[in-house]
Amino acid sequence: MELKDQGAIVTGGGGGIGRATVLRLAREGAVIAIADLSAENARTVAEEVRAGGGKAIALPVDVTRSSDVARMVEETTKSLGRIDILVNVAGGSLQKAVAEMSEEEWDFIVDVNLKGTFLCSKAVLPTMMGRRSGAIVNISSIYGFTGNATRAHYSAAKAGVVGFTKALAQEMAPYHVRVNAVAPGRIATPRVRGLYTDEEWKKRIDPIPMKRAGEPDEIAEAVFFLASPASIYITGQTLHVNGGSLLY
Amino acid sequence: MVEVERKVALVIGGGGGIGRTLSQGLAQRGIAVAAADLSVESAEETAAGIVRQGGEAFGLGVNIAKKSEVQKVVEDVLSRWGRIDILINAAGILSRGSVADLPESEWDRVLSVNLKGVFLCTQAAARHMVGRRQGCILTLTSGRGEAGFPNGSHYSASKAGVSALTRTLAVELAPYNIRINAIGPGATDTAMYRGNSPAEVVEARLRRHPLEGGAGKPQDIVGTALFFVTEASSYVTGQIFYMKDPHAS
Repeated sequence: MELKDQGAIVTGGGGGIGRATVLRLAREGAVIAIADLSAENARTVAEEVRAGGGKAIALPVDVTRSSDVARMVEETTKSLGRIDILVNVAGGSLQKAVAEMSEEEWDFIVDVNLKGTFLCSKAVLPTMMGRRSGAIVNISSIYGFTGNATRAHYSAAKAGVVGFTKALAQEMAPYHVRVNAVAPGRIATPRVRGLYTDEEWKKRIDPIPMKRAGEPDEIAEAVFFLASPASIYITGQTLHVNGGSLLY
Repeated sequence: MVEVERKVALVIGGGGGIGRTLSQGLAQRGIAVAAADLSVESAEETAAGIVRQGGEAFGLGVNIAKKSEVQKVVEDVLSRWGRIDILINAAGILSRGSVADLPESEWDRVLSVNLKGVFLCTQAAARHMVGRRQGCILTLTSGRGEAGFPNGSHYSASKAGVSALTRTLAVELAPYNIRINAIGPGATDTAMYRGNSPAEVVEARLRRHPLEGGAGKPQDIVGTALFFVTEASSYVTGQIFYMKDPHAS
């Protein structure tokens, strides 16, 4: 139990990578605030944690609204006592060519992936800086490095997450607050897998050197590593979890 | 021959510095460790320390620039334990010299250990791992292979070579369920580091906190190495993971 009684917030914790992260951190003894746009999904995962003997609260949060984010930090502090770890998983994408993309669509995707990461990180800094300890883990994406046709907004936002991670890491180093990112490749979350037929999915798996998609649990392991004492002096870094994609 | 039940790691450069600390860290996780080093005495000392703590280990001597010696080390581990699950390439040398004055022999010496040695060890271990369709390889590299530094042309070239080797072999070995990654720990308080920088620079680095530009301790690398050589990183391969930003001062 490497995170015994540590307080963690996982945004987007109601499904996919967020849910896997919640369950991984809970297994190490962390107490967790599960923030999700969907109150119902957050509650379901909180119940899973409790069923496993852990402690979790569910919070309906829109990470693009600073009032929601402020309430998230308040309620977490009240219920869990402290915030040692923040994992910014909340995000999402829609497919649209730039030529067809409205300003509102751009804003929506950049806000949920990048501004949300900024707002949530900023909101936990006072407590982490005050205690001169803490770990923030952001979720970027392989598309932040490769780009992806019909996902210009998402690609830009996820590249932005990497720049934000490096800059905040430098600002926080004197306070010994660590800030890192995980960049997942193709991960078989129920939502993503549901976007494709079997044939389309196979076509996307074929170029991956490991010849398979990753599992949400494999991202959760990387998040746990970067949130735990195992990575005590690592900051500003991005860990690629992609089965060897990006290599040729 | 009966395979041992526990996982087996071969740690090249296991006789001192980061390699010795990693050997101890692996042993604490229940992994049997074959520590190999240019100095067989230092490797045996690492092994004896592990055995005293209740672990399983033995030491071997090897000059990794020599193919026959590398093959013999792998054969010795296999004849003793029947398997190699993990290879850690932690042997390396550092020296300084301006390119104008650098003797060809010094270029060859550094490249033969830092790059060719890594190739030979990886090749010998991979042959075995390919047969078992299972294995994890981790090489210690340096951010200097990415960023470079004055009077370190040979060292930087060797470490950049390690990156290319790692990326290439990750793709080549992925079909055999072998993952290969490299980590660049940054300035670390070892005899090699102390011996290659002016004393006042070393002292200043050691006084600073690692998150604020200070040198780390070998112990700080254990958690990261364990992540890369265990199931925790089961979807991670071909990564050159720098523990500190290579471009930061």
